[in-house]
Amino acid sequence: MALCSSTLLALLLGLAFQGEGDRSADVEGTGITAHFAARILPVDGPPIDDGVLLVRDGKILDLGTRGDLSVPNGARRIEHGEAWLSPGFVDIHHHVSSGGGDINDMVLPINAELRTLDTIDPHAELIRRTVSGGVTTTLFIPGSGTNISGFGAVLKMIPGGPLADMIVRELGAMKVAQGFNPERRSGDLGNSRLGSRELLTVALERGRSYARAWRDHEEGLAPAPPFDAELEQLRKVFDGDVPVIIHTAGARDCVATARMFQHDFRVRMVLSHGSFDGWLAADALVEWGTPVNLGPRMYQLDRRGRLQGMCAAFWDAGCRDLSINTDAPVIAPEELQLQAAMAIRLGLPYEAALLAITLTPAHQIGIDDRVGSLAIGKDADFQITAGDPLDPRHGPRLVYIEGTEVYRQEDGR
Amino acid sequence: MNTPRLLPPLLLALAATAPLRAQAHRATAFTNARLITVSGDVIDRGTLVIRNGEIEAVGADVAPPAGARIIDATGKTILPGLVCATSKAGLNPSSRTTSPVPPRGRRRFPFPMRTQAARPQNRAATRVVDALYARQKVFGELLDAGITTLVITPQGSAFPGLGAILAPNGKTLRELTADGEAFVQITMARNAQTKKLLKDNFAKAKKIVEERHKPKEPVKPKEAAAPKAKPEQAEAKPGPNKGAKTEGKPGAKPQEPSGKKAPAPKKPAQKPAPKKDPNLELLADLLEGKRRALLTIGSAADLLHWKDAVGDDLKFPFTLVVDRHDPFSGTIDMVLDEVVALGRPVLLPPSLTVKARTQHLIHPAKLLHEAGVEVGFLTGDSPAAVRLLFFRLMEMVRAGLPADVALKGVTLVPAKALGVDATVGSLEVGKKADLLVFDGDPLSPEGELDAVWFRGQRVPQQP
Repeated sequence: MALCSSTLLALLLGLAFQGEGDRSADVEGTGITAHFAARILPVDGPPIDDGVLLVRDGKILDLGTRGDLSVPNGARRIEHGEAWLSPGFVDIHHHVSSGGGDINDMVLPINAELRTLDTIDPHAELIRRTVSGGVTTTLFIPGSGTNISGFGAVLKMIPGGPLADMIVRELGAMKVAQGFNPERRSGDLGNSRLGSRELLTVALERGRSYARAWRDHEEGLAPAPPFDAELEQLRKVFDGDVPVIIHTAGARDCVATARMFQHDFRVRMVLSHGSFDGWLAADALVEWGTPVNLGPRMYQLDRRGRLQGMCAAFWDAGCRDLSINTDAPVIAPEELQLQAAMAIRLGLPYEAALLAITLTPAHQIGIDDRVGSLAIGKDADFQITAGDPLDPRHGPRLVYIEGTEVYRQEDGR
Repeated sequence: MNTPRLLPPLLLALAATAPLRAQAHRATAFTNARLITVSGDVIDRGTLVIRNGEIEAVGADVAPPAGARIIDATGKTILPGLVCATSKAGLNPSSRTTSPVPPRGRRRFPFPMRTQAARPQNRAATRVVDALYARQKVFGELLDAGITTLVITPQGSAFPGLGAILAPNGKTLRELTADGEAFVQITMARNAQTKKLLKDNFAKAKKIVEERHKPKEPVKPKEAAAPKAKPEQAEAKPGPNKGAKTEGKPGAKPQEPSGKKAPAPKKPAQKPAPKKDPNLELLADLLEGKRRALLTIGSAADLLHWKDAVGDDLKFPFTLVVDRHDPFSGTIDMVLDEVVALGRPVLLPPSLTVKARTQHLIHPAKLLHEAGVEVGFLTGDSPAAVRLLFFRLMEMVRAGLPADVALKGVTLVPAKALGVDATVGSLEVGKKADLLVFDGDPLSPEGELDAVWFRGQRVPQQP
């Protein structure tokens, strides 16, 4: 028995050591790691040829050309040769961090009190596959089976966790669904868009009043309202802390959605999908400055079966607040890059496609202070690719999250 | 209507056809093009000369012939046209046959009838092209999308018929049909009826082959007595020649008094020859190597059941088609050793898949390729699927399949499977000028399909 427990202890110690070793591998001496690459794509600045990126404590300390930037003595040096170094991608419409399933409660049409945080499985294979596509940050939202299905968590895609390290924001965004999927045909209100609108309006009115009551209380204008667990999370939407991401598709629903959330309730919103003939609404959405998150369908077929680029249609209408998603598992989570490549082939400019899977989605849900580009002070989340990160012929060789290697291509896929 | 009003359009029409005729012998040269020949190396900057619908010259140092129409293809990449080796395009739902196994669950009224067509049977000699309605826009749409060699696959299990190769620019059945009897389709289904049918029919076909190779003997009276045949049966014998109509399709035969069959009857004066089953004769031809087959399976389990049904020693020229990734009945890589032992090329869906009940990605094409199997891909048979094909290829290349294998897999490999690799599938002198012109590399995000050339003519852009 004693032997057994000591073996177990040794094993545990061994495991702990191994974990410690992995995470502190780049922290030696100065605690600075210098990554050298043939080209660095900061995204928010021009490409840096023959560049170096300095990382300390998981943050970007500095970046520049090898000639201009002095690497401190004692810094650990990692040469990536001819490879390119670019920021990890950001996917804000993602459903797979629970390992599949557990994304729709499907009992009530309005569930603003639910959240995905409690369902995350750090060992889910789909997290590893996500990061194998260079995607380092995702918004893990509930599904579109109900009108308000709960709140999604913003996560770093660290395979195996620990969970605490993965969480960027516990309440990343509230998920709303309008049109198609939430028409549940369940025999109660909400059978059609008519009912959906009514349910949403009532729920949002309640949330808005509740938030206002607490604000009044905090400013000493009124006594504290009775605590309502159902509305505690929704309150944060009206306090401006958490945006709303809305499943909506088709021109009619796109316009209706923007009108409701931007004009009537004045909350921060991201319009997600925008599929089918949603691009017909692009002019109106551009005028209102609606952030759009397009995908998973990147095209609309014309009469001859030819693919018409959806992103290009929005871009041509003047939409600049444009991001791209996989809606994983609808499109495999490692294929965000391929989604962007498809958008390019169907007419979206290269720079726009790069922004659409990095800085723009990060900005849309308010995490661009930490991720989305390579800038001093931001998280050191980046990928090493054999060439252009949007070239689908090669996936990332290496992916780092907060300075730590989390994926290596030779490990197999 | 008076003559002067009719004349100008007539003259115009004549004027319009004149240059076309002149062009027939004029060469077209694509210069400064990147040429993915598929059969050989990629030529980074070269010239491709086409004339009379065929490739006349290809290479880095080729000079355009005098008088050739020059197309400066700087920045463009030229690839041979796509070969679609499995397709239901243009087959209406009623010409497909349903699975012999009724769908699970409660049967609803009207209960599905077990028709003749639903049961697996040997209809090997039925030509699928005879059931085709020619005037469908899907053929032209597929050509627009890059399919220059299009197959029509007979539907049903076991021996559903003879597959056809279409020239997708055709407007009539005659124009469409490049080869009405291109291959014997064999479709595996995992049920006892199908397995028994496969086993029995191959056994019978083997006997026929043995009979054919027996030295001619005078007919014994016992044999002659057995059939008690009606006189016209002797004439029902199918010609093995490709153009002739083959028997076996009840709906298609009656009208033709057939001038072609006329030379055949050499009136057996004494006794009628024993009745020959055209379907079995065809299988015998297959076993003798006179025809080729596509063997379609859906899973690893199907392959094992195939081997169980027909045995290991059955040899005939075929290409294995795996028409889907089925993790639950086993993806094809699970029987990698058996596939390698077959020594045949394999066509499979252009995608990755997952292990059963997991989210672990697997790459059957890469595994097969690395084991030395020649792999090709199913392009899909809808215009949208074909237009998405190159994205699927990108996905497979990113996951480790060499790019040249991916491109060969949608051109030369399926062309070989259909036995048309002497005329299509690569950019080689003497082959048909079926070309895809891309703006850049077809596997890069920028490389959009710019133009399709079919038999030396640019396919006009449809509005």
